[in-house]
Amino acid sequence: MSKPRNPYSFPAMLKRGIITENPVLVQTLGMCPSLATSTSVSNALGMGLSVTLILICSNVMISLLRKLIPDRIRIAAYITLIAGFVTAVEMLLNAYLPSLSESLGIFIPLIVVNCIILARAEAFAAKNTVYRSFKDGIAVGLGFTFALVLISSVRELLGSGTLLGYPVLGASYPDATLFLMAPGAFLVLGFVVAGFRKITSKKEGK
Amino acid sequence: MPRSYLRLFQAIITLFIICAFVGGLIGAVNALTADRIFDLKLQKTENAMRTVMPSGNIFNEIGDVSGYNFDSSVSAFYEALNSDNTCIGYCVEAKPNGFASQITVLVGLSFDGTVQGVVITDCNGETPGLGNRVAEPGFTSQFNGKGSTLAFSTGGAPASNEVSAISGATYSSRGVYEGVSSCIRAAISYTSANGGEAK
Repeated sequence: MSKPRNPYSFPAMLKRGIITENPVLVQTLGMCPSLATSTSVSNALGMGLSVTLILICSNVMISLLRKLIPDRIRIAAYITLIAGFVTAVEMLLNAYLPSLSESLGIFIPLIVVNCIILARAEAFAAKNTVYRSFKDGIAVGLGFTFALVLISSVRELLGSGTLLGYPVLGASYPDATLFLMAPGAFLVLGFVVAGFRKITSKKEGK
Repeated sequence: MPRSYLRLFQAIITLFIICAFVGGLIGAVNALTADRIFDLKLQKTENAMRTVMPSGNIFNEIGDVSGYNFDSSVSAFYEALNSDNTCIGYCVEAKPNGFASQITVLVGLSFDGTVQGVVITDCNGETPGLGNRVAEPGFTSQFNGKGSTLAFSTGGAPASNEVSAISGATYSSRGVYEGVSSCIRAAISYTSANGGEAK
């Protein structure tokens, strides 16, 4: 966060959240959901946007309460708030997007312990104004979504020959099921992170 | 009052307020969504039952099945009535263990335990691309027309009473086979306990 010109302008925050400080691709946070829910682009979008919504809510709420919550109980307070938002989102998904909530399954309730959300609460929302925390929630949430979509497009394309459910590689493509399973997730994650680093470090002239 | 008590008191009050707020939020969202979630579940089960029992019109769940000695994986038992309100068979739901999770199978059966149709209503815990292919009609339609002699085959051409496993997904396939077998036994024991061709 040592950019010279207004580091808290929305474009600067977006750039940090999505590119230079991307939670998954640069900070390698939230690995479990990134590996588990990136089997298809629609799962990744659903997961990414759910996390974004929860992140915005928890960031705003925690920033609002940052001067009222005693230091000693802050983690308990954060987790309670986050768990509340997650439960609410889970019910909404169940009611309005049942097929998505079925395919994400246990990973929606597990957002409670997603380290990206707790990290932003502790590292950002607890020290910054409500408006900044709101923007931070959007930026980091979109960064998470972007990383998931990147990983899942590779996995869905190679594993099922489709993108967002539409056939891309044709019926003759033999599905490489490996990419839908855990080993494939690790492989793709590694290559995507490496590729991402390569591109971003070139831009920075390193 | 000593300072430390004051701080303790402050912590308790803050946590209490946060819990009350979160409780209120969840309560409100629950009130908003509970009916819809319930309806969706009901509709999903009913759609599945119409698929396995196309001429069924009304499905009556038999609540108390303790007297019929069903396998423990059988989770629900319905009598299927056609549009004239005559019982034409059963829909039985079972939750056998697959490879990594419980699979939910719904089976439409005639009185003598002959399978009319099989639908997998939940196999999301199974391996994508392998185990969760048991939900595909290519696998489930093998059960149609089979009865009490149903058997399982993991290789070679299946005999007329056998269903063959999906290669690479033997555990999930066996899970479905065991679930369907439990449903067949349940149908047979229900019919015999009620004295032959139902009511």
